[in-house]
Amino acid sequence: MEPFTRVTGILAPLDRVNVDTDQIIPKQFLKRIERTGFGPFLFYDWRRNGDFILDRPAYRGASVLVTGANFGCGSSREHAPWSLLEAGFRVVIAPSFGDIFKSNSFRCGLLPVEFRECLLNGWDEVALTLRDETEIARYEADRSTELPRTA
Amino acid sequence: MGRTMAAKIWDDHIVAAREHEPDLLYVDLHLVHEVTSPQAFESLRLNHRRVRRPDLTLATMDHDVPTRGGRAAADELAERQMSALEENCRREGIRLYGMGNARQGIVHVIGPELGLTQPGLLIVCGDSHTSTHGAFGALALGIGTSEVEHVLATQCLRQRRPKAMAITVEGALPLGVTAKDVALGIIARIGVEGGRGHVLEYRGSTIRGLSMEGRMTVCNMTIEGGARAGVIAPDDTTFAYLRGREYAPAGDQWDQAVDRWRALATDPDAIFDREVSIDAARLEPYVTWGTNPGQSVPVSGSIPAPSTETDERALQYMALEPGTAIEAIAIDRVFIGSCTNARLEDLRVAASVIRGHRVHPKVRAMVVPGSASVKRQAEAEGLDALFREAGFEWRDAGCSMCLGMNPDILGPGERCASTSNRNFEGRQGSGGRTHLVSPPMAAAAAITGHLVDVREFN
Repeated sequence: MEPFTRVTGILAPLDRVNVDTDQIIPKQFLKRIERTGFGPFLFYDWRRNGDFILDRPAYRGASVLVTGANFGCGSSREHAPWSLLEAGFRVVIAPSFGDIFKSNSFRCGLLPVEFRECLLNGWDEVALTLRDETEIARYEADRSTELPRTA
Repeated sequence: MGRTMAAKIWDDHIVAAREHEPDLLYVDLHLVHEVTSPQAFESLRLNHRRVRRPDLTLATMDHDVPTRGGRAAADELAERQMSALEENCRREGIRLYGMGNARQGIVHVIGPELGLTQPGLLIVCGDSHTSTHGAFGALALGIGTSEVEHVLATQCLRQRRPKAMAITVEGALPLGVTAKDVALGIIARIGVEGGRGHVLEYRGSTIRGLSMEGRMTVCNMTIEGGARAGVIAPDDTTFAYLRGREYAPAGDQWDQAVDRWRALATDPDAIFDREVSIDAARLEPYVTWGTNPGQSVPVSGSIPAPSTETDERALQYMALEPGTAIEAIAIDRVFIGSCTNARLEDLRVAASVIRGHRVHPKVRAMVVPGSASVKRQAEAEGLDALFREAGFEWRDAGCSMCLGMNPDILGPGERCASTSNRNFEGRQGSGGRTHLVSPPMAAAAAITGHLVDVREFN
């Protein structure tokens, strides 16, 4: 496996959440007995429909993929990280990953970086939580008055 | 399917749960101290926010308070932190038990002794040893300063649901084996990252047989096994400890609370993600030889041959040779203190070993009670006189040499038998060498001047 020391390259955005491994590499391409030969079929169905963002000239040769939450959910196929690697990606940045995809990635040389939504959007986490003010207030209203207080 | 105790507490505190997001949990008790809070308060101010629930927040000073000479002995930076905490608490209406207050002490000692730490609560504090409070069947999480700010502003915490691990310890503890040794034995077994991502539930007859003080010691060290939190089911021992304490429920509310608390126990058909069983009969008094709490051997043993580079580095730092008998290791200092082992029971046990003896002339030994209240009670029992007459320094309450943020530190190369929780490089002072032990083992070492098996001491 190529040692992971530094990645310099183009960053490609894929603005979708819950990208499952069936999308990353569809089932019909899983029949190989080698770990190679999957790169050309990365996101096969999406690419086939034309104007897929990763096919735009600006993102040709990209090595970092930035995407939405729960990337790599679904099937455990390690062909998903293999196909990303073969297509030139070394890093995937997402708010969260499918557990198995994440663990597969570490094992085959693809770095999954969890990048919380707050950071992605520059949100202040307190502000984000305060959008749940109604829920917090409701919880407080239902909370037993017998619980201890410091003041 | 049944639920574990930790899952029940978790579920009871969910304010909002959404797919692919951490749960939003309501915090019942937020403990605050001077070191991890100033930046949180500053950020609140800059964002024109206030503390949402000062009535669920309690502050004390512990991490860098001097343990002799009073506040005047604090260095400039410590004084700044203490003043900042006073100002922040005053502005936000948070109750503060600061230096000189009768209720001041190590945050994880005072929560329980005030009766604030209760079963079923979600407790947070900007300190990793918050796990201590799990001894009462509370879910207690250590958090960082950004999270402290978040809790101050929203009384909520965002967390992903942890996994559950059962640590079952069965059987009577052999003579000379304490709760500290149970904790060190567990860490030796699961490793310093064995608990990562889990809440540990300590169960079994050994755990049920421990006093609340002992249970706190075990839960305190949970973080040294890498786990998120540790819990122990509340029982009659828990209720007896809590009853009558300042913030504990009273009257009719007491009985209702006990009913509620009894229902917290893990359901018989609940499933743990991982289970570990430990036979208490095989536990011994342990001594750490390296620079993480997992590197320990029984006191009757010797320094092991290094099997990894980490071991080699640790031995080099500790200036120890493989094959050396633990009991042949001479010490310079003894520290009896910290949120792990500075409650009244710990001091009593140490005192019982010391009675009739004197501290070895080459050893400098100190006792730092966990709280002002522990100090008063110990003095009422005459323990202070016993320690002093034996040659120990008797100090005021604080974290002290557990982490060496105040003037209590080891000098370079000094070797210390310590009842604290971390033997990391430089933790107790740059170049200092820490051997983690139980309070009776520390007391015995103070007298003989070297690490010694407390079972053969008296």
